[in-house]
Amino acid sequence: MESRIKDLLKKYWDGTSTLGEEKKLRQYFSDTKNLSPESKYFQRIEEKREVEMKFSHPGKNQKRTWMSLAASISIGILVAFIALNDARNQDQFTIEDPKEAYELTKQALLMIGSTINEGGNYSKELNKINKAKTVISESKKSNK
Amino acid sequence: MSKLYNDQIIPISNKMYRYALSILKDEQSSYDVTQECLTKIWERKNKLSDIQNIEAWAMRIIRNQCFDWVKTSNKVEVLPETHDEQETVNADHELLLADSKKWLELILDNIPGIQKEIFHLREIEGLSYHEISEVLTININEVKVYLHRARTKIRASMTKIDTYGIAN
Repeated sequence: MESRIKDLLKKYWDGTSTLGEEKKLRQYFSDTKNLSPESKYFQRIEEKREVEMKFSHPGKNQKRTWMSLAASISIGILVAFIALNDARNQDQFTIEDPKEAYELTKQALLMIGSTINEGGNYSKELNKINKAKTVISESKKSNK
Repeated sequence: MSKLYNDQIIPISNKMYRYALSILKDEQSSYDVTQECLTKIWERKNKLSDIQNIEAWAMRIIRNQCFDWVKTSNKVEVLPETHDEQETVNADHELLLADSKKWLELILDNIPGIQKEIFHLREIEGLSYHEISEVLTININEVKVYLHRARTKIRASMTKIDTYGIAN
């Protein structure tokens, strides 16, 4: 070991070394392949100095709170806008003129009515079958 | 005013964390306490310009915060805040040390709390005697004496382990 380091170590253990001299010791022992207890000691101190952790910036947290508040307000405004617009669109289908409304209603009812009539025609056919069925069953009885 | 926080507090946030870790010995608690402390300092960022030595001030805050945390949670066993010189190192303990990678921590566990704190502030965080005296609110001569005692004990333990030939 260099005499310079020996002197520094003596000062260190005597408690008279400066911060700069202590740094020199750590630097010397972190580079050396020397396995003495002292080099292990300074290497371990160097390792302990490197322990780190990430912390969030309290100011950025505040900014984030503001941003999320702004985001929720804008979503609220957007939803309200869409809802209002929707209601306005529905108004476009409302007919103010009574005559026009009457005509449209009539057309709609006629459309439904024709469908019901079609259903009526089918029921007539069914009635015919029913009649035929009774005739057959009665003739069967008379044969017996 | 956030400039002072960014320039002077952010660079020492890891020092604050390591100091908390040396007291609480638990990563999660030390992280929480440090983050809480940083938030408190941020809230007082407008007053940072009135503080002479911000680093010593911040280290004192984290120290107080750690001891408050211990008082309210009782979750971890903390180093006793005592100046007594009771020697607890024994032969069995040194044998245990020799097998452990954390031999330095084990030696430190057996020196009085105040010496351990001074050791940490000087060796790991590189604080001056004056700054350490501000953090712990004791006088500079006491700081020097306690640091010297801590180093002497560590050296003695190291020499004993080396003599047994099982230091590695």
